[in-house]
Amino acid sequence: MRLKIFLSLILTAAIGFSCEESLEVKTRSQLTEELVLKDVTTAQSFLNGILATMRNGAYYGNNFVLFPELLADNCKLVNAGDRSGRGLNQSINLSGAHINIWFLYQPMNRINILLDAINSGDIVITSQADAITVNRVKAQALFMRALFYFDLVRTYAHNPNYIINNWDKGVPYITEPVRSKDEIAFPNRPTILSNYEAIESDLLAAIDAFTATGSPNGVTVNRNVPSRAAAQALLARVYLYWAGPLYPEKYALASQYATEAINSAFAVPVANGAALNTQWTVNTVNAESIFEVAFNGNAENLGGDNALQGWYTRQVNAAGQRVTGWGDVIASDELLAEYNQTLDARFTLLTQRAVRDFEPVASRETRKYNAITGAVFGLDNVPVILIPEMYLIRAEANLLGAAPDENAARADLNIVRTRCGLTALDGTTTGAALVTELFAERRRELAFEGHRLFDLTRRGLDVLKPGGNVIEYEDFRVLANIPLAEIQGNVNLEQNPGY
Amino acid sequence: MRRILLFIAVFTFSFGLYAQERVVSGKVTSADDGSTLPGVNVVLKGTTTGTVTDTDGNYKLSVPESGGTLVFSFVGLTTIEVGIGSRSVVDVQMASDFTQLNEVVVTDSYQSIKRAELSGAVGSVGGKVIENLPIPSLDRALQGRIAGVQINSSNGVPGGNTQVRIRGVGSISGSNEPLYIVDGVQITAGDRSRRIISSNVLNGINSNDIENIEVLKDAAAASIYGAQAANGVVIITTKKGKSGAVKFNANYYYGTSDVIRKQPLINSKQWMDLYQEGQANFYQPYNSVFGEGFNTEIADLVTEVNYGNSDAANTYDWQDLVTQRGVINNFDFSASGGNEKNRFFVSASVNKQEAQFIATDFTRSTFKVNYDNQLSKKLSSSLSLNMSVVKQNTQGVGGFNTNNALVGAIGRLPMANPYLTNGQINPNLTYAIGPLGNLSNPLWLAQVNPQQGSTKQLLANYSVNYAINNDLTFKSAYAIEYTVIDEWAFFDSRSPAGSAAAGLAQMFNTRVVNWSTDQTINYVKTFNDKHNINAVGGFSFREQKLDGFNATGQGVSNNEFKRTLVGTTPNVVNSVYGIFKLSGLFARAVYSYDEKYVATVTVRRDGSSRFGDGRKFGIFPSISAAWNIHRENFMNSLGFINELKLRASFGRTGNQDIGADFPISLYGGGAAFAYNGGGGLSFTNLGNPQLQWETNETINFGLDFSLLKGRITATTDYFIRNTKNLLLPQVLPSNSGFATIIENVGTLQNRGLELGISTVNIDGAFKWTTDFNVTFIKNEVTKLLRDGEDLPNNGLWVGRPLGQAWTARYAGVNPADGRAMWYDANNNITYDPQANDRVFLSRGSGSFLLPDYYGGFTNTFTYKGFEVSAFFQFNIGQLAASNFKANSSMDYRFDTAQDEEMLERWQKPGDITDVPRIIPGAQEVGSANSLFGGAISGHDRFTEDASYLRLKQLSIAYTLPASLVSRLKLSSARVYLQGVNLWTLTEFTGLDPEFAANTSNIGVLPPSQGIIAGVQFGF
Repeated sequence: MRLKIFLSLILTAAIGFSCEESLEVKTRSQLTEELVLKDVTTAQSFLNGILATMRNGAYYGNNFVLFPELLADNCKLVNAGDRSGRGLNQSINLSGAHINIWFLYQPMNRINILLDAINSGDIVITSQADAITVNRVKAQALFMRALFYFDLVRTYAHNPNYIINNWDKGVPYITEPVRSKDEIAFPNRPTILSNYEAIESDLLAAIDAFTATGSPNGVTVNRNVPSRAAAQALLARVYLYWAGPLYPEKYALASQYATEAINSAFAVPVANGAALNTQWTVNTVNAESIFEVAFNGNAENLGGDNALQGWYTRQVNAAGQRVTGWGDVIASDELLAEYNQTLDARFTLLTQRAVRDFEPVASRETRKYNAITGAVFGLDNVPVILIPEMYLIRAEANLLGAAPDENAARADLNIVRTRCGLTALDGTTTGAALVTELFAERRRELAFEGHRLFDLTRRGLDVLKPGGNVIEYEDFRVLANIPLAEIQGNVNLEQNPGY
Repeated sequence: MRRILLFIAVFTFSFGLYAQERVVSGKVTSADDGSTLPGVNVVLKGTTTGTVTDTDGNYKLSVPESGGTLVFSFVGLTTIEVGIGSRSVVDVQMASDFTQLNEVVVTDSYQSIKRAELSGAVGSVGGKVIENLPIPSLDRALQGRIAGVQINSSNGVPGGNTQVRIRGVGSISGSNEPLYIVDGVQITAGDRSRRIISSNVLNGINSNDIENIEVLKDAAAASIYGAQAANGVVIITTKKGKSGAVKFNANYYYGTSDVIRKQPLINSKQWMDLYQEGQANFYQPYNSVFGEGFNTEIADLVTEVNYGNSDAANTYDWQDLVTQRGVINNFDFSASGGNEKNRFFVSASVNKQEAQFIATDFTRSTFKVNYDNQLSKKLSSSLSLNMSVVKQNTQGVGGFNTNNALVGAIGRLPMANPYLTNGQINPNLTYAIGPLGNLSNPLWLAQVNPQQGSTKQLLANYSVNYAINNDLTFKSAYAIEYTVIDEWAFFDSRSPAGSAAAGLAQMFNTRVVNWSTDQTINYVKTFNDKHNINAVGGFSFREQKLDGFNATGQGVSNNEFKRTLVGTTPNVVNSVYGIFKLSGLFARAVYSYDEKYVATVTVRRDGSSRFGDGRKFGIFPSISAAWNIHRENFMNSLGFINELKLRASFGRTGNQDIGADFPISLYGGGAAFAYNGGGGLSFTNLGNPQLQWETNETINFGLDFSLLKGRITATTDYFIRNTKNLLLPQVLPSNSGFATIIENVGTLQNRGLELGISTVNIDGAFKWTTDFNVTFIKNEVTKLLRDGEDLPNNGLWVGRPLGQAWTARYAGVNPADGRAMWYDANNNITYDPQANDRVFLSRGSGSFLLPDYYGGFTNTFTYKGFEVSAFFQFNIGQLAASNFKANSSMDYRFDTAQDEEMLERWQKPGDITDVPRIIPGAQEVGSANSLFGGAISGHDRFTEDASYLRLKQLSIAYTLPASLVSRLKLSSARVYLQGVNLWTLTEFTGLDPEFAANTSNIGVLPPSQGIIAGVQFGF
């Protein structure tokens, strides 16, 4: 009898344990969909996860800043000196050796998920403070989407004013979230113009949402996260790229939003050359930055090898032995020739380096990405937008726009110049000379910050490589190649010509 | 097994005694190993008078005054008849009877099946074969012993993980390891270490406790384990107690281990000359500017300034400095005994190995209890406990990392003096002028950056058997594995790995709780003497949970702090968690007609938590049949054939070990998503609810035969193992938020022929036996994502094996200019091979993962108490990269030691050689280590056929004669010598051909060779 009871218990257990429910397991380190994006805390965390993408070594962590310099003419590679071999292909513009940021579509999906959760009211708002947070998060998410798309379109597509062979394909602009396998879209490439319009609309919406938070910049002064000033500044940059022979009306808009960014007083130009050096080499947060990528602590340091500092500089000990960093990428002779080597504080930011074996000529390396004094090598914030660029944008718009205003342009240029110790331009610099000076100033000011290739391509200019090679604007290598896996994964996606 | 039968014999043959005229007595011992044989049936021929030997093999029997003939019989031994004559003491020796080996049974967790009724493919190794091998984990002992089982070391550190591949490789994304069952405890294989280099999950088992290892190879044998059986099942059974007086066994061995091979490197003078030449070659183009001779002038200068006078330079052998003669000490002790109701086996052991590399060791203590109890006539229970503590000191890290001692040592310049003038270790080396100029002294790193792992493991299994009636038995079994792993590592603030953070202290704690239960009912019955039925039905549930946390502190106030986080600033804090559950219902029935015709049907319905709703369950059936032809009447005339059996099977098994959480969409956090001091969250897993099992369908044909009274026995199997629903990463467009998603798309086939043959070449006082096995295997991808589509970026091609080598071919050196040349796709010579110049390498098997064939053979010679055994193992056709040679014969990017091959380099026009000119920098394509972004395998200059034949084990043992032993009050005594990896035949130029199957083996410590000597006493 006892046996029968026991056996029937076992049998019951066997049947009980053989159903799906008995095999349910709960994850701990990860959450299922129904548990996330319901409150402001997760919304903020989700936004942090998107912002963290900025640190990626292929993006502002390194390549997106470094390669536009190496692919253009501001930098040269001292490959032989350190024999690391890296960067070689970019320095000679080898086909396929370009910026690779297509992966930004992955965090982009998370932006779309976040915005969808906010717009559909999934995020429970229980207080006024919550409402402010949600508006700010929404504004920052829109800013990030605009930034990602703008960086994608200027990397993978021509400037709308300089389309070659009618190749007017932009990049897929996706706003629908993918939460499950069956929501995956296989988009084709819309026009470049539609990209610019969409970016414009996202940034205008971001500015509105920042305004809706009630505080002037949407955030208390925190340059590490997007603010209303950052959205205005990015929009000014977008309009500047958009402006040109085909879209001259965009100059005024560029000027307008540059002015708004300047007027926000979120960041102001430094007082003098000494302060300029300090903000780059000593301060963690750059005094002139409107938005910069924060790198906090060892875990986020890309390291002595792979951080921007590890490419741009090399630390040596008293005996001349390399301690850390590689310093493969240094200023080109052509760039050095652009500076007033006695007055310009930006020239003193370039350090003379000792002559080494394999590197017979003394060279100069930038200290723009040097860490805080005494801190860990490679660990430094990376600026995305700095206030001098706004003055340069406004000056360019004032010179090339529908109603040129040389005085205003000169005044803006002088703000940039005098803070570095250069003399102010007087009324004798006019016309073509002033335009030349503007672009020279822009090159000097923004060198090593990831602008150079785009500043040439947006104006339809050839790249004159150090050493004499010319990459003509019509050359297919001006545009980056879409990764092969993406083309394989989406039959509707068209590769750029030549690849 | 034999012991169990002995007991059956003891209980079966209980005779009463008659009053007789006189008494003969004697002792029955084994002719094989001299041990005493209890339970042997002793009968006076022609009468019913008889007895059985006691636990010491002694018997006493009354016989007529006239004597007569005694018949000694026992299952598995040859029956012998001995005339008594006038003797009063009749001692006999009994030998194994090969014709009766069929009676041996094969046991898995659920059922015991007579070998004659077995229709699946099962290999086995007795505990005696692997006894006293100085290897920390017993899976290594299977290498070369069983056809169809291939073992690769993942790492030569003592206690390191292995790769066990039964019948090829059947999964690309999932696990390829078999399921282990240790005394009823199911263990998922793998490396559980999170910080130290490598730790094998089977480290806690003392191989001297093992009675028997069985490997279930085909679906018919393994499908009762359903979703865990795709890669085969390894069943490990430890020794059990037997009734009789308590027996003690003490065993001690001592041994040493050494590196097998060192990379041949050039000396300081040669290195500096090479450097000078490299500089001169580099500055050659400048001669047109500065004048002829400029290049050699500046090269001389740079060499002199950087390294001094080459004639005066000392040479330091760094490989010598980081290696040592390892020492092995092993002691184990066991006691066993019992009575009719209770039997026990208790053992304890300590094994300590100092490796052949500095700062690397292994210490294991084990305690084992097996306790069997006959609670009542119908109820019995069995308890098995194995407790172990394993401590491993390792140092450095794996892979190409300059903190790895092996990489460090092979990389250091021969001129670099490891010691300061005061004789102390020099932390930072002179001559470190290159880009890796801050290289530290590996000897110093080994001292200041220690790493340790300690694993405490409990394996326990308790089962109750209840005999419902003569035919039906109910068994209820409960098993648990509880493992705690503590690991810590310290990085000195002065060392490169610790300097950035001012010293790092790391601690990892991991717990595994793995429990399971099996409830089974067995039915064994014979109808009409001919129809045998052996059936089992049951239910099984298993859950394994792994959780752990780890913390890293930075900013160490004093480098003498090692194993503490106290005083540091938190840097990384993290936790891990994983769980899976399995639930199965199963049944198997074996039917045989007169043990002539055998049919077996198995079915298991298994569920796993790893799959999405509606897809959790799978059905894994198998059918098999066997025909014992030798039992047919028509075979009677062929007396020399003692056994002839045909087997065939077909069945399906599953692989649930696919990694966790693929079916559901998940959101996770982590340091990668934190920003500006705030915690981050991300969409981390795009679920694929359609995901299902990878299934294996195996067809097996087997032929077993035994000839000439067991002088020749052989087992052959031919198998085709098709893996379907292979999980592969399907590429997604990035706008999906992910790069890939795992889908069931591919198919794969392993097919092969296994042959195992054992012969008794010479029988008698001097005996010579040979065991040989070989496995020919062919692995082929049959389908990937879409029909006919290859995935070259994943190294997968339809019609090609896994691990296929696909590279540009090296065409040697242009005698005119010394540059490396390559073949392009059209077989033309090029300096600059492109991605589409890659071809499939045809040398060897063409695969880094699988050989063409592998196996082993053993020759054993016995004479009286002496036994000499030599075991060779071979693995033919597998490719491997000669990484160290490649890294030290490259392009001078780093100031590292150089291979002797560099002496053969091209130096002047007209030189005919395979070694290109030396030039610093990566300007010359392919002289550098990578092409197409790949590692060394990116081109074939350093890809070699790593075929080898190795004298894996050579043992010499002497068992002292019983007469001498008894005078010493012992029951047995044995001395032995054992050599491991003493001799190797290979053309591979890397450190060792026996590395893990992989394209890169850099930084992995190779296996050692060694000799041990030991003594064993029974009393």
